[in-house]
Amino acid sequence: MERDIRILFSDTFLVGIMFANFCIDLFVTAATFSNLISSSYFLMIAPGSNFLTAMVAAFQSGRDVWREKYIKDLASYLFTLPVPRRLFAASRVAGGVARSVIATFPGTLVISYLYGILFSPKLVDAFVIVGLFSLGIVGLSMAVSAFASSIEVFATVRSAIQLYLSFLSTIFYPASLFPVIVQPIVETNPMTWAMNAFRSLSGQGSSLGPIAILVAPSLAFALLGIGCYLWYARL
Amino acid sequence: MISFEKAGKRFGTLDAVKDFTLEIRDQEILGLLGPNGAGKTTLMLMMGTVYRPTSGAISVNGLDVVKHPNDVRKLIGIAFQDPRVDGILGAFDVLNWHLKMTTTLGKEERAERVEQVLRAVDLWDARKKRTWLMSGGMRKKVEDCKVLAQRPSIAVFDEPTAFLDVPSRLLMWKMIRELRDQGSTVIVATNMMDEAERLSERVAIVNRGKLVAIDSPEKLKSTTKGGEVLELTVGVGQQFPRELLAEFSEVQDVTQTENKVSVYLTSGRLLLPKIVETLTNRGVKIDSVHLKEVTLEDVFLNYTGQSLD
Repeated sequence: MERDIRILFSDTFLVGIMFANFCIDLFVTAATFSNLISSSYFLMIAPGSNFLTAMVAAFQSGRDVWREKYIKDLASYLFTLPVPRRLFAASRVAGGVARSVIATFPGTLVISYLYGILFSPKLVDAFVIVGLFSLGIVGLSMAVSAFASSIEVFATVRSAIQLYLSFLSTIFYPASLFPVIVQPIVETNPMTWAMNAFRSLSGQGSSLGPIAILVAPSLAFALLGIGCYLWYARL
Repeated sequence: MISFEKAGKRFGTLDAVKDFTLEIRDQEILGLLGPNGAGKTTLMLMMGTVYRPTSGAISVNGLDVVKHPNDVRKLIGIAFQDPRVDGILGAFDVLNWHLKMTTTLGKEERAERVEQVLRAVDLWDARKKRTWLMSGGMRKKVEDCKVLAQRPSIAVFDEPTAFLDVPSRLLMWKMIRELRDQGSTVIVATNMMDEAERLSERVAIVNRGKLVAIDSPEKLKSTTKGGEVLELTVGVGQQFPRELLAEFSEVQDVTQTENKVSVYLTSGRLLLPKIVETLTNRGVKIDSVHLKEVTLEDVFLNYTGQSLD
């Protein structure tokens, strides 16, 4: 027990993240679920669930990258393959996006059907939105994996990011239902942008605007992930 | 040709490789012989552009590994000491993907090549078995097969027969020789003396990141004084009185590692009774005596002052 407690407090970063997670759980989760009843499931919750799946699948990329280096030592083999490092890093991001889009493929199709866009060009937009969102998350997860000194650190940071993306966004209900002080955080959450873009598909107007908002942050995170992976690849 | 010119690799304050100079000829089998931690793997990973040398230069077929890493990678195939395979994949898929990444072979050619090597090492029937479910020996074969199937210009094997049984070891050596015969330059890192001796045309002895000696196994053995080794096991903690053997002109050198004493000499059969008698008369407790010809292990011991164990 003493050893466990010593290990727990040996990393102040972990303790800080754990405390933050606890606060989010206590104050945000409870508040979220208390306001669910009046929401439209298909408009609010179903796309949110789909994006949660995309987020989890995208984060798997970072976990894999970490395991390749520190557990299976596959990294040294992969880096002997005749592929330029930058291309290799970019392909890892692309692979993560592909996995995420595949993981959410059925969900995206079902929601598109419910939105009445299954047989319209907006179906492509739906997949573009999921792909762009996944692109950013894959990049973020690879950046986290580059700096995580242990799988526990990676898992803890991942949980914190996932909680932020899940419960401080408009996945479950509109930003206006959040406390005023939290609303700016919710409005600037990439998950909120992704949700807004996806929900705009159900309307009559163009969804290009909401999609365009996603492009810059997703590319920025993807580039961050590639940069961190290249740094991390210097064994 | 592969050229290491005063190459070095430093990790923090540790010099894993230091001032390493070596030229590896085309289409030779070179054995890199050294104990664990000698720097063999670091040398191979520097050559394979995974590690960047912190000093000196390394070139592969005239291409500098730092300036032209991707061109160098196209020439090299490395079979790692610990199999680096995706456990969820079967042997066929592991090799097929490796060939897809490292060669320009078409789908059917790849399938043929993979089938050929898997049949050769008796893994064809287990080609779909996930590699994480395989035994250590089977996984090691899959790792070696990556390079055997790839047939790169420069094939690097790190401990190629670790975990393998005797028939498999002999088979793997045969396949490595065939790879060389097909035109590859082969580098085999090992800490097994018989492997280095039986497989290599030249052996480079590496110790603590430095090249200690390089030559053919026969020439290396001939550099060891005497030609025969009398191995004595003396009492634990006993300092061997070397001066007692000074009267024998046939004795060339004496080394002691813990309670094991190696006497390098000529005419060992004639001299053995006299040496034992001299030592026991002076109160030296001898637990065992063994006379043998010089082996690479003795060469290694002679050059480095330590055994490979």
